[in-house]
Amino acid sequence: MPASQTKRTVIIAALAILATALLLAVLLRAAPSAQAAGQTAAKTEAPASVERWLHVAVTCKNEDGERVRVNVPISLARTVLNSIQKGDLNHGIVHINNAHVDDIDIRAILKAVRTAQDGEYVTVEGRDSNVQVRKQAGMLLVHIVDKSGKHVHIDKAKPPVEENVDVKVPLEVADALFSGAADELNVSAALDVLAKHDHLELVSVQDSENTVRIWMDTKTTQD
Amino acid sequence: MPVPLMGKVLLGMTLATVVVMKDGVIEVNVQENHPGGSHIHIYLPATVATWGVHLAPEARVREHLRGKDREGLAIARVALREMEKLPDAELVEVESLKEHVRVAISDGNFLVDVNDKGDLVHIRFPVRAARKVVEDLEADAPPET
Repeated sequence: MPASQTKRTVIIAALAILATALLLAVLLRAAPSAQAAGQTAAKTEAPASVERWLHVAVTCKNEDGERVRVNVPISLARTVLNSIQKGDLNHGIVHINNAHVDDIDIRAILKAVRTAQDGEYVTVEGRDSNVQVRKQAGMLLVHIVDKSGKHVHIDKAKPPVEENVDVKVPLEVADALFSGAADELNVSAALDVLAKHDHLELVSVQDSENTVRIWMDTKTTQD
Repeated sequence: MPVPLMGKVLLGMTLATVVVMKDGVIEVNVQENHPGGSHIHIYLPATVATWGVHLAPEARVREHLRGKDREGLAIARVALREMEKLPDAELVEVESLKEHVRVAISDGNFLVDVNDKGDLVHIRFPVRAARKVVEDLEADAPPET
């Protein structure tokens, strides 16, 4: 075999090996995930990110012990919301034509609450429920106790239990929500402002059957 | 090995590498948890999925996409484009005594893991490829009336 042909053969062989190695590298990169099938979901430990994530955790106290966890980046929620133009939802703004808010100036109420001192503003104690609204450190806190007996205990023999609902909303988020026209809720702007907070407990619901928790932080997973 | 044959092998390997690297790999792993249960484990270049949209009969695709699906595809495209930027994360997890479903993002791939009473399903699909499929479908979708 002439020397030039041998040299060409060696170069082609080297290139073939290189191409094979590249292909194997790509395939092997995909292979480890195959091991994931059958394993309990491993917790992703991503480095702390400036991205804010909205977390929802629902735990059922029934025999199955169902647990649902949802993690959504706020930027994704906002982008998707802004891309929807359907019905009353228009690029992140919800029209509330039928909400009968004409007689109530929500903006004036919010302004009054914002400038007022921290304290308890509303307390309603009824036979079926207690409602408490207060302002604390720039947050609007709502606490509801439902005593109506709608929430039956898992053990039917036991008496109905109370449902506790806690909602925590930064006043600036409420301001952003009502920053548009009188018949609009600017959800997109509210998410923008919400994303400025590092960690926030937003909603907590507890009754005999379920526990629901909604919060926001910079983690990509739930602890 | 004769040089022409070596050249063909080289060309084949290079093409395969380019195809795989272009859009990533789709992985499907299904294991049935009973005696004689089947076990299917396949890897496919994600490019196959994007080609599939072009190879499918256009009239059938348009028929399926008639109606309000165009808007849904547009929203999906926006969502997928945003998801391409996400770090590794667990998006949804549903767990009970009998089932475990997990949807996550890892290295730019959707991971879907299902454990249904021992029957296991694992799917890995590149987010970028999913976005390209949606974009192609959106382009093929008939205009809204």
